[in-house]
Amino acid sequence: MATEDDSAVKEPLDLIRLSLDERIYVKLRSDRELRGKLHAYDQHLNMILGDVEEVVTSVEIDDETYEEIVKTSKRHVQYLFVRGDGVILVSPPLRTS
Amino acid sequence: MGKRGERQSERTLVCVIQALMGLELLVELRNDLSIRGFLDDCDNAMNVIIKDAMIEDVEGCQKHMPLIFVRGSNIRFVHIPDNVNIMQAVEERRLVLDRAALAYMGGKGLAPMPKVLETQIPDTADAAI
Repeated sequence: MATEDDSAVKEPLDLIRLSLDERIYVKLRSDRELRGKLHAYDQHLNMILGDVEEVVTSVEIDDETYEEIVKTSKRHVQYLFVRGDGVILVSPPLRTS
Repeated sequence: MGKRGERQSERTLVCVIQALMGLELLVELRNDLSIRGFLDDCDNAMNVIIKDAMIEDVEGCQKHMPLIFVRGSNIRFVHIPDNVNIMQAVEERRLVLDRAALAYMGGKGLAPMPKVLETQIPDTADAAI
């Protein structure tokens, strides 16, 4: 059933298909990021991620010094369904080394 | 037996949520509310009905509500319970729906098609073709 056509990259969603079962980085709306293993996705970019780390970034402004304080909070979820309308981008995980 | 992907819900990942009906899960909304409760129903638009729900906001304030309807567009995440085998649950639900469709047709195996009376078809339809 897997012909040469099935593995060809024809449209942008096919690039996501190449990342199935791989770890990916997902940028969401509301300054959130996810890093996890992509188990499933669909055309709406609804996704099922496994072993997920969520990072929420918030910027607070100090009342006195008016400097921007960037805060992040992290969370780990074993198995997460992500609704596609919140997804901004999907990418292989960024290597920080 | 219906083929995979014939149903509208099976073309998207909503079928995964629908396979979790009856289970306890945590739903996170776009407005940062968390709702933990039993998934009573889920439709193709991901609108959900949650029973026996505990709603928690960002500050940690909790409120109990016996029955909630949430519009699907408001959902950000659904936490899937750890002990669930998703693939099996989706397959089982698909088989249940197939059997129900078969039973509806009295075992004849054809999907129900809308009946159109001949008198309802306007003559101009053929002319347009």
